[in-house]
Amino acid sequence: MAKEKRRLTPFEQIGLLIAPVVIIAYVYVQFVYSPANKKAESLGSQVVELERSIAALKANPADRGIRERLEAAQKAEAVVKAKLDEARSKLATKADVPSVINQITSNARLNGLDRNMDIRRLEEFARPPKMLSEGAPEILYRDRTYHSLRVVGPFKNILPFLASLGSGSKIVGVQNASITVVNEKGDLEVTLLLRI
Amino acid sequence: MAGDIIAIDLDRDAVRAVVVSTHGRSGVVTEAVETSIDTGFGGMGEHGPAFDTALAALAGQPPKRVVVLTSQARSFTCDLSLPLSQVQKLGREKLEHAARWEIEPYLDFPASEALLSVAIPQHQPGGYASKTTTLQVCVAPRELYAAIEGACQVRGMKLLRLYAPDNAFAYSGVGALEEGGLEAVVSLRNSSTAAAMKRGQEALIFRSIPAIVGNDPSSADELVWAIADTVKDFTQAAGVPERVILADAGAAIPTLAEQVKLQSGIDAAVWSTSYTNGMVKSECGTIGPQYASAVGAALQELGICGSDKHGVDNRIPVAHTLRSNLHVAIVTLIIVLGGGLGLNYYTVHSRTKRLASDQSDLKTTEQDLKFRQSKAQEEEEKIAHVETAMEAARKEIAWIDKLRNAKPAAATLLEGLRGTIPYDVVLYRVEQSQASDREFMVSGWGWRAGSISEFQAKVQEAEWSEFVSPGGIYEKDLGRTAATGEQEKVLTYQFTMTIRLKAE
Repeated sequence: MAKEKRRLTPFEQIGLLIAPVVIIAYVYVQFVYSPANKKAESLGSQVVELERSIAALKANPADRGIRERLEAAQKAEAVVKAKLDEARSKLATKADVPSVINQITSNARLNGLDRNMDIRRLEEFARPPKMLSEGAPEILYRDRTYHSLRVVGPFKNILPFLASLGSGSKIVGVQNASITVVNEKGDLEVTLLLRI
Repeated sequence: MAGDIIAIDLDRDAVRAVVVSTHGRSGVVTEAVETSIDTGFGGMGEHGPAFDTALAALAGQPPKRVVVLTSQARSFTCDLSLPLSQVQKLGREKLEHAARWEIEPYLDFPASEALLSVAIPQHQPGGYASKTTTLQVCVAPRELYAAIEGACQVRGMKLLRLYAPDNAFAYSGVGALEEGGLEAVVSLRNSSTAAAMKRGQEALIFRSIPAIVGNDPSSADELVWAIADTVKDFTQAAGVPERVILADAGAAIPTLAEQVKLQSGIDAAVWSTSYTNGMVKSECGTIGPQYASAVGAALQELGICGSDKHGVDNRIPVAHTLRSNLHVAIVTLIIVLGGGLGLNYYTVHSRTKRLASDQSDLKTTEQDLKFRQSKAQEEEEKIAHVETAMEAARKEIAWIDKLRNAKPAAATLLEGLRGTIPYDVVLYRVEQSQASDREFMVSGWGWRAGSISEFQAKVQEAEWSEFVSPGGIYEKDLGRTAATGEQEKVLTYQFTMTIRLKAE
């Protein structure tokens, strides 16, 4: 009959129990748990960071009332544009120039100055002279037509004529005015630049 | 018949075999044969011929399941120094380990080679409160078991258990008395004598009796006295038995029952199936007391009589069991550890999955919020642009209104000068500045310097002028031809001045 095998000592039995536990636990922790846990921790920190970012974005919403403000601004702009269009209607267009010239000559005739009057368009004015204050909108001197005007007459006629230049339906700018006494009677020769 | 079993009793000078089957809650003896042998059973490998002898005597085919009684399987009573309550809590292995240690001095072979069966008798001699517990131990050499098992296998039978004859007789179905009644059973074998005290179907006390059946009449007297003393001891321990049953081969001695009755004062009888209250029936005629132990072993094995099987089987050795348990423990531990680690991994994996999902959702939310923020910035820029445009438009409107309402500066100047110029001052030239339409260079002359300076002062104070910068007043001979034809001096004062008009 076969001899009975030696019985394991308690120490050996405990060793046999502990060894696989330690090996399995080590392998699991080293190759499974740690990488998975690291990934989870990394994701966790990213989630926390995202939550903070979202909380900050929600705390200061850039779009709060922006739509209403934009609509209000656009409405106000429409009103201002309408006013601007109305104001710009006082500026003569190229089509308006003949009628403005006609009005000027009419006024000269009313003041008895039409016989000694010379008005001509100045094509050579490529750049407007510095006659307006700093900050004036370009539209007031760009795309304008410039005319030289020369009239001769007594002071009593010259003065209302000059005053009439600013009372028309369209704005007429007067600059580079030169007024000179030309004879013993005291007649004045007025030369000036009209900006229509 | 289903449930058939054969019990083979290997006595010193005879082999007996009984075939017992179950019938309800009783056993039926279908065959009982006895064959004398001359050689006996001393060795381990000598059972084959005896088996063949017994089996050959049987009329029919023997059952496949077999139990064997041999005096080489022995029964011991030992005491453990532990109270019954603690012994009952011990596991089978610890109990067998303790019993092995207790019986080791009485064995003629190594205890590690012993097959054990341990039972805790219901009747404890010291009572339940005693600090010691009595154990009933059946022991047999493993080598013997293997030899008998091998002999059975060769003959196509399966050995179920090996019984010690010195307690198997106690389960020979005796139980005719009223429940709770006591009776003593005495086994008189050629090789040994033993006695037991029974209550109903349970054996309470076992005891070996030194005297054995012999040919010498004086030894018969000695046997009767020994039986009487034993019964007396039983009486002191458990109470007075109502009768004494004499079993096994020695019970056939004539007048033995009467002598025991005479000596012990208790009714005595020889075992037969008529004393079993129907628990054992015979289909093969009357069977003698020599079959009592074999019948008792068969009834135990069939579960008809007794609550425990007081025989040994080839259970796995204790050390092997321990090793198996160690294997089971390791496997269990690995499974538990694996389960735990799996659960842990599942938890970590689930957490990772949930966090990844959360991260995805949060990224979408953040992108949405950032998109809304960029849209809001665009709209903010639009608002700023609109406001800038409105400001420019307002400025332009203001300028246009200003120009529209403004009188030409030259007209304003002339009108203002008309109201301030004295009669003796004459202006002959007015030049508008090219740098500013509100600045004019005025040139003129006067008869007196005082009039000129007075004129300049008035212009300075006029509400239409902002400031006046006098250029100078100087004499000039205008000259003229007098009536006498001579040139005469005409002194005048010429002047220049710069006038800046107030802004309207």
